[in-house]
Amino acid sequence: MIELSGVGKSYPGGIEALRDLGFSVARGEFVFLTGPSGAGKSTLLKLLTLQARPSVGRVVLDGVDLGRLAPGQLPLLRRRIGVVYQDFRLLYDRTVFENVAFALRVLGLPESQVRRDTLAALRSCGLEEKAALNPHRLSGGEQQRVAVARALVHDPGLVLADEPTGNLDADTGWEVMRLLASAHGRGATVVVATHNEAVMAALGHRRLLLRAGTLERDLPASAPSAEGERFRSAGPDPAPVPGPEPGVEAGIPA
Amino acid sequence: MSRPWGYFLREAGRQAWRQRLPTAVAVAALGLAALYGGAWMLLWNNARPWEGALDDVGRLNAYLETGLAPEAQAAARAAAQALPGVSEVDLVTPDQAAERLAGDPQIKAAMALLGDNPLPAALTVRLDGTDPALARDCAARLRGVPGVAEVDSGASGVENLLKANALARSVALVLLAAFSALALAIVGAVLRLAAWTRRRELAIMRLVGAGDSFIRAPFLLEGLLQGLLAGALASAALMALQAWVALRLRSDLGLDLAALLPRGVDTPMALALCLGTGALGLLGAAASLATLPLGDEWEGS
Ligand SMILES: Nc1ncnc2c1ncn2[C@@H]1O[C@H](COP(=O)(O)OP(=O)(O)OP(=O)(O)O)[C@@H](O)[C@H]1O
Ligand SMILES: [Mg+2]
Repeated sequence: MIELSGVGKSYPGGIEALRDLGFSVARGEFVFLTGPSGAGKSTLLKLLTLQARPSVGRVVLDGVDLGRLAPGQLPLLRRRIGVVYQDFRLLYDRTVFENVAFALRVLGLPESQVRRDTLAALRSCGLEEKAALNPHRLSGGEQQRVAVARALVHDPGLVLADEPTGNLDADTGWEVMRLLASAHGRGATVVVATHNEAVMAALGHRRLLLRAGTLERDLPASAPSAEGERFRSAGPDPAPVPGPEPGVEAGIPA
Repeated sequence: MSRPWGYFLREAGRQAWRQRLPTAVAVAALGLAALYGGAWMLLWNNARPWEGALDDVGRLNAYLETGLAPEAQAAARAAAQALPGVSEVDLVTPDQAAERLAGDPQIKAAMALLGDNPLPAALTVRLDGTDPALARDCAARLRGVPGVAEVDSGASGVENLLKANALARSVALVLLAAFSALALAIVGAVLRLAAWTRRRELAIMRLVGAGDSFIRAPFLLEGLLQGLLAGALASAALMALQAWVALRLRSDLGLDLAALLPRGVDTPMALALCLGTGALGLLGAAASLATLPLGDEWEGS
């Protein structure tokens, strides 16, 4: 699903945020991206979310070599990815419903389906009461869930999340992880950048440890903790949109 | 891929509302261009009879002195007939002239305003061809004929008239182009402003996978709607003005506007105005957005 080889990214001013990075993530895998602040996690996600191009190296997403992407293909590829941004990136002059719905509108779906799928996604994120509110009237955790609902509403094959539990209390953080896990349960490949040791230890998925822009360690999946086991076996909630594939078991690197 | 036009329409409306003042300015600019265009169309539609003047190049009008005796009029006619290059001469009495002109409703209405018949007796001189040089020579000789007060030298007169008319039209056309360009620029500026204030939102739409046409459609639609609205407002204003003028003319002067203005502001003209400004708005939007990245920022490389 994701293949990187020799990837580097420098920012103007000579800052080398990523250096000779290479790894791959299989379809249906759940991977944590971790490492100290400034290690390059967000930069890597920026490459994968098609916000930035690598300075050197090759990135292949879902079989598409980003270096050979025709301009007109960029939106098409973006539609296959669901992204949860650290700063949410919600539209604060629109309702929660509209924020989630427009991820479907860009797909050109008929209005009836947009309505139905949006309401289903809001319900699975526990936001149906808030559908008519503007995001600035929600708490941080609720806004985070709107961001998750928008990322998952079109049932993308690849879900990327940058510190989705960053500013949340433990319970709310788990709530967001549960939503990401449910997407994983429906067959999506999930990459989550996080500092949250508790979540990583509990779920036991594979970890990519970045340091100073390079891949320091690639830790294979381990057994989930008792708490994580409960979380995983509780199973994903009813899917917002039924996935085409059966759930893929978590945490086994290809 | 189906196009959610309802959504685009709502987006365009929301955007126009958020930028009420700039939108009003854009509509006003388009409306002014439409008003000017409407005035121009009125002139164009009703000034057509001037073009018939071209037929007159092969003809001269020699106006006789007022109060000239009928024998003297006949003598002047005979003298004119004897001139080289002249094929035929008709004597037109003031009453005949008035009668002939009354066939034209525009002139009839104007004559009614003047009251007494102001026309002198005249000789209508038909020449052996439509050569302006011949016409000038004949005109000079006609001026020497006793009893002739003034010669309307068909050639230069008609030429000048046509030149003046053509000049007036080009000036009007240049002004129309200038007004349109101004309106175009204002519409473009307003939409660029809207795109600028919405840049964050557009960037998010891009990240979610919105394509170019999806991002642009609401802007184009807004330009089109601004144009249509401006055209409709301008048409309504012109029609109201026309109705008011017709009312005043009738009540104050007992005149029929339709006689002076055979083709006033009508539905086809209003439609043409709306289409014109609609196209202008659409063009302004397209031109201003063509060079804008509209939130697309796949930076680096
Ligand atoms: N837009 C930018 N321009 C210049 N330098 C940047 C830019 N974004 C990031 N960097 C630099 O690139 C390096 C990696 O940054 P990045 O945001 O990827 O780290 P991170 O691992 O996400 O850190 P954190 O855990 O704090 O979010 C840092 O040294 C940072 O200063
Ligand atoms: Mg970061």
